[in-house]
Amino acid sequence: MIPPITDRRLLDAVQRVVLEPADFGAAWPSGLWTTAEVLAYLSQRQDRFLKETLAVCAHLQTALLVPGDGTADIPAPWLATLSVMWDSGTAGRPLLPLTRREADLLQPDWQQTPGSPLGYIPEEYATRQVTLVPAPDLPGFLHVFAAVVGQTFTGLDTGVAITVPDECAPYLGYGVLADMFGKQGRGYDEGRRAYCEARWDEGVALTQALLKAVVIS
Amino acid sequence: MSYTQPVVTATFAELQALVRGRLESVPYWTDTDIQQAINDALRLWSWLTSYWRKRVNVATSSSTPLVVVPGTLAQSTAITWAREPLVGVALAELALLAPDWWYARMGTARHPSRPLFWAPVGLSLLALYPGADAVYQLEVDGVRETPVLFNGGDAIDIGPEELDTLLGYVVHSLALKPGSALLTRTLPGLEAFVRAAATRNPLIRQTRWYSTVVKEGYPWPQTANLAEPGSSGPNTSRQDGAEDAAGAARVARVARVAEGGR
Repeated sequence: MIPPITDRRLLDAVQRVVLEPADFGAAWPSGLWTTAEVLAYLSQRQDRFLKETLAVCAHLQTALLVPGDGTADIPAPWLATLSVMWDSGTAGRPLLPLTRREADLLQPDWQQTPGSPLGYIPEEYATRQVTLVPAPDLPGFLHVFAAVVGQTFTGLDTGVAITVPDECAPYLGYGVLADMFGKQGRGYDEGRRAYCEARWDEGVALTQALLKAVVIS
Repeated sequence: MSYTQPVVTATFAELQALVRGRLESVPYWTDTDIQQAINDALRLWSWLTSYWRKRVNVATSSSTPLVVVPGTLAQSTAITWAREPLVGVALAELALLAPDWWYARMGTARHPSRPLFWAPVGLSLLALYPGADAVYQLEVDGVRETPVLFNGGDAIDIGPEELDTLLGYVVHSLALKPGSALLTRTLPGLEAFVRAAATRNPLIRQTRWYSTVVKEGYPWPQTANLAEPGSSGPNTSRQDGAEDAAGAARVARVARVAEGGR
C-alpha cells in the first residue's frame, strides 16, 4: 500500500530545495519562512489548483428553494462550478450558465414571470450565489457539480493527505516554492521564483487538458 | 519487422546509479533528494501520459448515478458494464443526451435496461446514464497506477528512450536546489520530457501552453536573473557568456514571434 502524500512530506521536499534541514516542515532555522506561512502557501496553492483545473469535483446540493425564490446559495466548500442542474424533486434539468444580457435576450420577462428554470447567472450579487432564470414556480433545489475547498493543513505529526491527486504533488510543490522565492526579503530569488511559477502554469494548463483526454481516445 | 516497443526493467537502485552518473561526483544531492526527484518524475510522467494504469471494479448504488473512482481516471478510459462497453461523453453532453439523467434508472419507463453513457465529473468521479437500480460492479479500465520506488529492488518497466528522457528530467529537477544557472543548463531535459509526454498524449499538443513552448521555448528564463549554484542573492550574481547568448537568442525569438514571425 503506497502511503498518500501529506502536507508534511511536501514540506520536507520543499525544505530540501531551500537548504533548510529536512524535518517534515517542523522548523525553518534560516528565519526566512515559518511553518505557518509555508502551510498557508500550500493551502492557497492547493485551492487554486482545484479551482483552476476542476480535476477533483464533488456533488453539492442547495437548500430547498420556494416558488418565486430566484437566488440560491451554494454550500460553503464551493470553489468553482463545473455544472448546475435544477431538480424539482421528481425530474432534473441541466441549467445553462448565462450573463444578465443573455438572460434578458433568452426570456425578456424572466424577472416577472416564474417558471421552470432554464439557466443561471453565476455570482451576480454574491460569490457563492446564483440567480435562476427565471425564478422557479415550484419548490426544488440545485445540484451543483463543483470543485470544493481542499483539506486544511496542520503540519502536525500525523500529516494531512493532499486533496489533489498524488501525481500533481510536484506541481503543488512548485507553487509553494514560487510563493517562498517571491517573498520580499533575503529569501527573494527572482530566477527560481519565475521558474517555479512557470512550472505551476504548466501543471494547471496540462491538467485542464487531461479532463478532455479521459473520454477522447 | 516488429513494431513492438522494447521495454527495459529498471530497478530503483539502477535508476539511482544512472542519475548519480549524470551528476558531478561531489555529492551535492543526498540519496533522499534523488529518490524524491525520481518519484516526482514518475508521478508527472504518469499524470501526463497515463503510462501506468490498471483496471478496477467499482460498486454502483441505486441512490445516486454518481460513482466514486479510487484514484484518477486515465487518458482514454474504457468503462464496461457486464462486458458491454459504455460510451464516454462530457458532462454537458450527457445533459443534452438525457436531461433527466439524475433521476433516470435502468429499466424504468423511457430509459434503457442498462447504463449506456458515462461522463467524468472531475477525474475521480463519474456519472452514469441511466443510473443503476442496485449495487453492481462497474469495470473501469484506466485508472492511474503510478509506481513509487522506495527499496533498491523496486522496479518499473519503461521504454529505453523514455527512460533516457526521464533521467534527463530527474537531473533537471534536481538543479532547482543549487540555483538558476544549473536549471538553465539542464532545461533541455525538461523540454524533452514535455515533448515525449506530448507524443504519448496528443491532447497536450493541442494546448495553448504547448504551442507557446514549441514556438518560443520554455516560458523561462527570458526575464530571470540567473544565480550561480548555491547563491541565494540572484540580483547580484553574474551570468556566464553561454547563458547570455542563449538568453539573447531566446529574447530575439520571442521578439520575432511578437512581430508576426518576420
